[in-house]
Amino acid sequence: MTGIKDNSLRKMIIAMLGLGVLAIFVTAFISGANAPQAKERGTAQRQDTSLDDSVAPLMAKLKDNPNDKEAVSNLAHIFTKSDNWEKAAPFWTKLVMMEPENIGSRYHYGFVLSQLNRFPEAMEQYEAILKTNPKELAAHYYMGMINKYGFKNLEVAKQHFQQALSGTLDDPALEAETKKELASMN
Amino acid sequence: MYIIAHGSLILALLTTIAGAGFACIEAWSGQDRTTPWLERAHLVSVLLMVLASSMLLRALVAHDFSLAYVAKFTDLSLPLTYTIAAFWAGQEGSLLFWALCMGLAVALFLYSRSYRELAPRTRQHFWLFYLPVQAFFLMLITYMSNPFAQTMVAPPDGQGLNPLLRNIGMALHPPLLFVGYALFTIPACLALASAFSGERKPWVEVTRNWLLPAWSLLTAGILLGGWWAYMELGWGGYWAWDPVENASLIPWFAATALVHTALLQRRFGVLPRTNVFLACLTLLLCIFATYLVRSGVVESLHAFGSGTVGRPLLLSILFGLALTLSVVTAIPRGDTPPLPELGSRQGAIVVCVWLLVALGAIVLLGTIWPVISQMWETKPVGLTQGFYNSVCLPLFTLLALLLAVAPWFGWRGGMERRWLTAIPVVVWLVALAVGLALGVRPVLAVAGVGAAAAVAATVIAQVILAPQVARTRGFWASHGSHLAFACIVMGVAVSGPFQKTLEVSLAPGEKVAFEGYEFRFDRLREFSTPEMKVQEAVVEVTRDGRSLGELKPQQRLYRNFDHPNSEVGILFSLGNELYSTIHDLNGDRAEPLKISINPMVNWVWIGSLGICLLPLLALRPRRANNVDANRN
Repeated sequence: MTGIKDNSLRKMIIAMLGLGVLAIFVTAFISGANAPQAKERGTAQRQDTSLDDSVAPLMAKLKDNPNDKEAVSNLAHIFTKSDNWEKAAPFWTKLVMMEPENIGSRYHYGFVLSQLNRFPEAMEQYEAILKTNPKELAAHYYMGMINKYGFKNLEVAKQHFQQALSGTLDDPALEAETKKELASMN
Repeated sequence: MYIIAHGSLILALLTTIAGAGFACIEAWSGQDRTTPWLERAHLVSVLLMVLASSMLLRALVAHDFSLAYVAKFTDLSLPLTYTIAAFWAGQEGSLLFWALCMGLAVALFLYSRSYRELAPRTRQHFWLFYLPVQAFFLMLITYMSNPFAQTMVAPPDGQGLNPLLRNIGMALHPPLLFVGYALFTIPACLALASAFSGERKPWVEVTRNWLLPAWSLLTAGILLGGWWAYMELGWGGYWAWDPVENASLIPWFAATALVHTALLQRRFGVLPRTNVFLACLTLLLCIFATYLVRSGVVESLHAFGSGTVGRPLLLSILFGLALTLSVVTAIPRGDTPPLPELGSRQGAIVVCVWLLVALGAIVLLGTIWPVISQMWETKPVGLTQGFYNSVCLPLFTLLALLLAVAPWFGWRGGMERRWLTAIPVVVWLVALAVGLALGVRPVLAVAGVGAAAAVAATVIAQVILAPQVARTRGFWASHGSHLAFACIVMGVAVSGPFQKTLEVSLAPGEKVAFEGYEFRFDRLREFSTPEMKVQEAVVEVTRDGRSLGELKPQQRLYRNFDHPNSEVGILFSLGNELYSTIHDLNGDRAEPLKISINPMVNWVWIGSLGICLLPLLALRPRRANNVDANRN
């Protein structure tokens, strides 16, 4: 191959490369020095291949059939698991509309809404759960939490925690947590 | 301990940056004395990357959840295969894997005869272009996407790998893609170095044994992704033209074009500047693929929030493009032979290349359409599968037709036996006429099958007419690959439009008839493994009273994941493959059981295997008696 003969062009290209290397150095060792790297919180939002690889085909399935319950549910779970509440919420909304009697979906939706500080809407979900099954005492725990930390309405929160403990909660950890919350208010 | 791993990567970055800096200074002053030091610097940086990677692998296998990456992608019940595959399950690990593969490949290249036979100045320039690329990747994994970030408190167990990724296809799909991406670095950097130094030894010959495996691995990665989608997602298809899928397909078009134009340069010395451009474009599009997937730029489908590596990736692509264009435009025309005539095999290859470029441009534009349309749309949306199918599939069919006709042309023009050219044309026309006469629709599917048959006819005729040529490895590397491509075209043309699907609610003991088959839901089996709980529907299939076997679609509830996942049940066939999934279970009733009849779908996978493996027959051992062009 005939090489580049124009010396000024050669030098320009070498200079470009040199600047590129310098930019990498500056980014890495000067700007990068401020980047958090040693410890990471469990809730930190990060990109990951599993999201890329699993969301795309599910979205494609939804494009084919917007009422594909399995795809909607999978997407809702995936975004919830990755703490991507904004993304998760629309899928839970859709799932709850598709399966209004599904208590599990309402629990998830309520939790996601409370993470988004949309407390009144979250309360509606837990109320709907109790309407479907008044024995779902766990709903009272979440309503208590929303009242305590969201609305700052301690009296109502206390009532909900007490109602949660009026029977036996399925999850012993949740029961212990409810007692702890209640105790901290006394 | 992970301070050592992270420190190794930082040290590798420093070494690489220092090497790149020296390479720039030497090139500026027209010297090439430091090349041995640059080689050593590279080997040191690779050793450091190997050390860091080993520590990540060890952490994964030992379930050390103090490492955030391990906690995020594995759990105690995950089988060893997937635990190891978690190395490339996340962004941090996959970037490290890419950098490691690239470093190791270049280390191998360094010890190859091809490298040693290059002129000293070209070797020096190779490092001038390569080391900044490696430094860039090391910068990403040390400061922007660190796989050695630790958790505040190590959890007792990890979150586990997404169930959809627990499939051997998905375990292998990313590494194949990344190794392919990594290998494209060598042709790109050597192309630039050769252009810069005026290397007399053609770089397309030197990198032949790197380009072909890179292409094969990229192709294998893409097709394995399609196979995974077919086997794991349960929708009965394998390609949805989704941005993630398109991301790897875009560099494939450029790479395929390069494989063919490189052949022309090797044999006839034509298109030297085009080849430099295509080699660099392929590498840049590989980085662009990562940018598409990681940056969240295509909001409608991949809005994962702002990616930490999106901006640097975009800047690197723009920088690389500017650098490439600067080099390519600076290459003097010299005594390059003129472009081949259209009526020659060379001309046909150039037309093929243009078709590939057009396909690449369409897929690229389609993929970033939501971004472009933001300029006038308030709610931009991605293009539908219908758009891609109606634009790309006719072009693929045309490509197949060209593959059928091109071998009948002479390399420099003309046809030895003109009437023989009629063979593929007649086969295609007959297939088209018969299909249309029988009322088969859509026409494009018929045209696709006809084009595949035409390619097959051409290859068979060539084998008969030139048996000596047909016994060479080169013949099967090229014509065999084209035949494999025709298999894929045929599989796609038939399995897509002629798929039949039934969704039916069935309880054990009930049966349903569909398209001449009888499906009897025999029983629901339940069992558990440490990883999951499984409910499996056993469906007996008969046709005309003859048992064909059992379909066993499953619902799996994985540990740490509270929503069941469908696992497909398949009855393999080269004709009608039976494919089933359970969407939901109400007690022991499948609601619904989805059954698909996928005609000739396995020809897609047979063709895939062929198209990935056959090009490797064109690999050539570097012989000791090769003439060293730089010394003569």
